[in-house]
Amino acid sequence: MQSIVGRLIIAQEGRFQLLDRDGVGHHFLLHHRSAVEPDQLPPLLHRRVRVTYRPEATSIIGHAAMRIDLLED
Amino acid sequence: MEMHPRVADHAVSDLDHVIADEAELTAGVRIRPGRSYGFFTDTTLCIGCKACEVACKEWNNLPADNLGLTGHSYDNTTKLSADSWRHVMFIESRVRDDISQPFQSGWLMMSDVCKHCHNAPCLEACPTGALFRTEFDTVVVQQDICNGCGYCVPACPFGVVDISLLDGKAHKCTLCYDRLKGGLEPACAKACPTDSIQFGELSQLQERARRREAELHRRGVADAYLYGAPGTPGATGGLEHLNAFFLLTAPPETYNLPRAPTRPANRVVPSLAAGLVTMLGLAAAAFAMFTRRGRGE
Repeated sequence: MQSIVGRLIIAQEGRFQLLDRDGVGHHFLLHHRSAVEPDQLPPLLHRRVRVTYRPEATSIIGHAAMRIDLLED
Repeated sequence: MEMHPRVADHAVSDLDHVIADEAELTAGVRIRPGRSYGFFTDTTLCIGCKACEVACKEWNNLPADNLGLTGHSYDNTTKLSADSWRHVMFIESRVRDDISQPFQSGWLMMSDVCKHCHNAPCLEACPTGALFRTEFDTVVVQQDICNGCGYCVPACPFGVVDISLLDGKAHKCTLCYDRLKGGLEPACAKACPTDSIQFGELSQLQERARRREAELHRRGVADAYLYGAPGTPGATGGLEHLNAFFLLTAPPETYNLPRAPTRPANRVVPSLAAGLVTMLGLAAAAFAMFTRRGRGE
């Protein structure tokens, strides 16, 4: 498992994008064993979060998000 | 952590108001619930720019997939999938010997998409009701209800629906359901620079498509025909018509489309009858055997 900190900028169903402190966007999809439901993503928009993910989504440019922790702004 | 300036990019619209019924400006159609909407894809106008694929991925936040070269002409998407809801085909064929340079390829290009069938087999197969028909007569998967059983995948006669191995749920084109609700034209149709993909009210699109077919016939393109409009190939087997239909210039198989798609539900009664007849036959044979043995023959 790896983790990354950034701000959630786009959420669409179970897909979202995170912008890290260098301004680089990262694409995530909620894994089927994720602790997060798609409905929980929109309230996290523009909030600072830590995403724990599996970098195992080999056939796509994206990662499988397993957990999202809300951090203080 | 400092907020990177990009986070604030376009956080607020530059416009001071929402453009009401924007589709009326971009596609000439006002989107109203209770009416049928769809796509008319005129493959004779497609230039293979893939703007529709990009627009779809951008709007729906879909990840790039099928990384690497495929070896199939300029096609790097290869098929519709859980992460690709538009697919531009590059079919190398029809080198015109009379006018083409040696080794010059001729392309048939087509932007494939979910057909949003009138009698949608995927919707009929869904046991949870995750697949439903919207107020715009389109077919959409509700992600929070889909349990990933996958019944919709083999039910689709066009091979459109796909299960994502990451989230375990079925995904396909929604005909930009969220945009339609906001009065916006679907992203792919809006991005299409040649109007190969046209969005509109179905009856108007079908009329427009028939006019286009007749015009092409007049101009000498005798093999142009509609696929998926009422009474044409593709609208067979109980599907009645496809809300996303096409104008093609080669046999359907060339575009990886079935010549005569059917609803799997059509085969339920014959299959059940065949099963019952088989059971009755076996029971009769067993009865005859035991009767014969009982008589000591």
